Amino acid sequence: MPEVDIPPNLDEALRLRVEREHVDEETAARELLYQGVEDYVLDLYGEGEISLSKAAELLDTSVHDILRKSRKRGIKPTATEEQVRRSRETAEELL
Amino acid sequence: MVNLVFDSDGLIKIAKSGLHREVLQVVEASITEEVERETVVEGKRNMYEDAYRLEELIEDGTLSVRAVERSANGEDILRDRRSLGEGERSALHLYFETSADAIVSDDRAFLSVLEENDVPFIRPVDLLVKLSKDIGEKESLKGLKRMGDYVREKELRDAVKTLEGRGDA
Repeated sequence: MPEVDIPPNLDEALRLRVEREHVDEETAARELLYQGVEDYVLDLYGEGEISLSKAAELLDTSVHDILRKSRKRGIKPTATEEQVRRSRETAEELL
Repeated sequence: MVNLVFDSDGLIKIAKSGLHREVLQVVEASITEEVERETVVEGKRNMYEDAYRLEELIEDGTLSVRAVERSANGEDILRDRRSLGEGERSALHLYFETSADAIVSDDRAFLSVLEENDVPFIRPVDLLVKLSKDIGEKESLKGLKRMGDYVREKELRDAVKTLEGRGDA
């Protein structure tokens, strides 16, 4: 993990977290980083760039948790129009 | 009987419908150990109800869990792909290993890979609609509505319309 210089505004946010959550700076930084990564990963999942299992692996959580968090944010990364068409076609052929 | 492999997405969404037992009794359904770990083992750790429901199906043999070897076809498709996790990857290998008829999933990233490689797939919504002749239309409609939080509104409306006999949108 690279070392990063934190700009003053983010440093202020970090200090706020330290005060409000009663944690040390390292914990606060880790928590904020995780929050940012979680947002990023869920965005990728929502856009269909990564799968459900991949999102769970990246965030070290369960697939159930990913589905719950996505639902809470209104993220429903379901199929494209073409994928819907193909799915229906296959269902028609097989079932 | 149609032989279907489920990934975690497909399996959990069918569980959300509340018709998991009915659906999985009408098809030959299997999952990998990785999908079992994701949906049941890890789900139970956080007390997700769906995990316990799925565990019951495994225990009574309705849902088979298979250990999977890496298939050559699967390896070709998955090489250098970082968008998929172990659940999807293992499901693809199981599809090839068992010569399954299709994979059940609604995961867009996974469906994109399947689509590119002409691997047949069925989305849980479409599975439920098609199996309504076995499960019953009323029950299937209820099941679709229970899946509502996990399916786009338009798709849910289309599926409901299909079931109610107003035709595909």
